[in-house]
Amino acid sequence: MASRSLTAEQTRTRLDEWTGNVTKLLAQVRKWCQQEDWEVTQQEKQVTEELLGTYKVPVLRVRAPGGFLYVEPVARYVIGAEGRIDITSSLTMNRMLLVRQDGRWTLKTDSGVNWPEQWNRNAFVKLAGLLTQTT
Amino acid sequence: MNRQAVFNRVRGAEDEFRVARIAVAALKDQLSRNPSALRQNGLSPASVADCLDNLEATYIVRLFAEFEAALRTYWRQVRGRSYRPRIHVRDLIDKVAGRHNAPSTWLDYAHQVRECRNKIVHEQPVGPALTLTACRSYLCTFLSLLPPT
Repeated sequence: MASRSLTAEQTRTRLDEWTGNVTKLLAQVRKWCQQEDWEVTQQEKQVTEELLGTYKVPVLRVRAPGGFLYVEPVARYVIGAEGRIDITSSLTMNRMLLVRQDGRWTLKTDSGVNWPEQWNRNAFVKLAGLLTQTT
Repeated sequence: MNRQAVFNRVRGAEDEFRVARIAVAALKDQLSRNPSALRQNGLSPASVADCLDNLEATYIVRLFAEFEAALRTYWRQVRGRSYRPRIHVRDLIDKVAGRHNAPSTWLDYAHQVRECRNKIVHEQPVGPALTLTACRSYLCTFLSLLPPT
């Protein structure tokens, strides 16, 4: 857990680092969607964190074959990781977590179980199918 | 456990509070015109004023009870036979937050409501530190960590 207060410079550095990581990840997802011929639109959301204040981040809305998916940053300061982005199906409300640990993104299920596959295009495409699947 | 059902129970408690506040305020108004209206029930206008003053705090306790029950149900499912029923709610909140990589801010908010509830129950302050609406918002935000089913 980070110290409960940051200097203005530390806040700016951490925020730049976090939004940079988010931007890179979303650009990667956007590219994979283009390769799959899935339509993507970008929206924006406001996040408020005690240590970073209020800031804006992009959110992706992906039209996957099974339904819409949202790729949505949640927060930089999360318990047990250095950032979290959710991938949620608006149809089923199924969700996967992308958490940043040791400088890379790893996948977790909504129940908090580590996903055995690495975060890459194949995993994303597979998850898009699984998350939008109605039982 | 169904997450939407939990949200509905928490929101339902807030709606009940709103209804109760309107009803008690109407009764208080009626008593201002007829102060002996509750005499046959052994109650005085002061009891109604106290009820109105304490209503929000009462419902914060109720709201937190719904939240705690939902977390315990969920954690029992997760832990199975290793679930310890007597786990302190503070630790339960921390464990759920850790399992789901909760934003630190959400965890802080949940603990703020827990502390507010504790003050109401154990210290009997003049008024709660948080409004019921803020408590509902903080608790529902935290509950959004749970899987939908």
